[in-house]
Amino acid sequence: MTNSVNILLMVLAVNACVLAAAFVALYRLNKAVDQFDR
Amino acid sequence: MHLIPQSWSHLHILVSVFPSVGLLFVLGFYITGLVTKNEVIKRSCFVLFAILALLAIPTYLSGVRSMDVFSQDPKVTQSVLNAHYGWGLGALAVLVITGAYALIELWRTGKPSEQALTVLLGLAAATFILMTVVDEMGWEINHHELQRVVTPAQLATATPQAWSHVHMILNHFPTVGFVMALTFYVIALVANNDGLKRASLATFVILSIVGVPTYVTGAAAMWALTVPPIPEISKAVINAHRDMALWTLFGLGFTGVAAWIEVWRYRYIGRFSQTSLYLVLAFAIITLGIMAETGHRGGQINHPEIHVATDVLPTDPTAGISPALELLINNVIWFVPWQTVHFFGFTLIFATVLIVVLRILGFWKGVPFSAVHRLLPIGVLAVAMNVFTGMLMMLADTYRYVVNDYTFAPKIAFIPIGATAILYFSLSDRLWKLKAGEDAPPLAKAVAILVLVCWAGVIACGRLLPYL
Repeated sequence: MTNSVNILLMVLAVNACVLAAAFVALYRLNKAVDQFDR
Repeated sequence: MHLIPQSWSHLHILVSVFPSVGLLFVLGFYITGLVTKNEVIKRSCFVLFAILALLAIPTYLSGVRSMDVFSQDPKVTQSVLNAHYGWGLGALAVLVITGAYALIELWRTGKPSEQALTVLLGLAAATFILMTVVDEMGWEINHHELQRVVTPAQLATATPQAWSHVHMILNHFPTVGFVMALTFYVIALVANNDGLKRASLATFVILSIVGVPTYVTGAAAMWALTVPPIPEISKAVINAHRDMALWTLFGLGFTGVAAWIEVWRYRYIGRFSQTSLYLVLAFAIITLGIMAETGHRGGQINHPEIHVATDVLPTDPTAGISPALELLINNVIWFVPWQTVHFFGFTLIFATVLIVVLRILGFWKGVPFSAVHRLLPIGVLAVAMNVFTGMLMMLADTYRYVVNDYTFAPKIAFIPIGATAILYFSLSDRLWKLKAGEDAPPLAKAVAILVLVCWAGVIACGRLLPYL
């Protein structure tokens, strides 16, 4: 049981960090071209 | 690392790859110059054809001196040496003619004629074909492991040596390719030529993605060389090479993504950002340095003739980052989180691919192509994410993935094809000008289908891994 909780916590932590970093990168990239887009 | 060669064989190994693999890249840029009618690219290629022709001198001299050394080696067959020498001489002669022709065209006043440009293309292509034959003969001289025959008892666990062969061919593309791409990139920055900048950035992207099959075939080659073991090959030396290959993968990732972003952003802004261009330059130079060390460590695996007295080769097969990562990722608490990231990655890739591809194929014609092009960074970042997580997952059991699972090789083959084809979406001017209500050109539709098939193939092959 403890092991399952640990796995779940690790899944949440790793995915939250990676996906949040990807989201920030994409947001900044899109914002940079917003003013030039047709 | 001793990058300055201390033996003729070492010099021959280093210099001979440029008139063969390097020539392919100059040929690629030359064709780009012809298609885009870019005079700077064409003239840069003239100079590089001439420089490669000059390299015929050290290639020939180091080759002849190496022959003297190898003639004393009882394991080397004289007929194989003679065949490599004979074909090599012919290839170098055609290379010199190509270089001289390029030099004459460069010195002529005015634009070169269409006929002259075509003749040069033909000469360079003929040189490349001859060089390929010579390279194949070169492997045979002292890569005896490629002809190794295993006993019937060893057959069940032995990995085909074809993987070692493929790895030796593939690894020259990112390494030599980076030298050539960097050369063109520096010319582009100095000449301030946007066409050459785009071509060089696209080359960095392609080379970065070629790093994936190079790394994977390297893992397969490791098993081919160690199970059953070959006495003169050390797992510790292989691990030192693998550790550096890991850093190369990171370097390629940073360079490739930074270069692709610049190609993508150029479409909206209409010019390059100087800061970003120099960032790509810095990444590329650092990556090339890492790759040089990776290549050198790779050479030490099975080239005793390049060892020098001061070389201290590793002896502990459990030391290093790769064995440590293998242990760590085998723990379910590390494997499952990264596997989940991998699954998020391929849903993001496929979603992006599907939207862009369907627009090109005629769905949502009311949307201009530039609107769906805005989505591409999601897919590209997801590819980078999945290369990293995929590498981690593969390290959990490389033998199972690369040797036992039949769908792993096609999965890895689909990745560079699918990723390279996506570059077309940012490079094609006709596609970029596609307005709302307009139909995409047939070539774009063909590329779109190829992209869709490749990424569907990656997912299907990945899902089939545990079963086939």
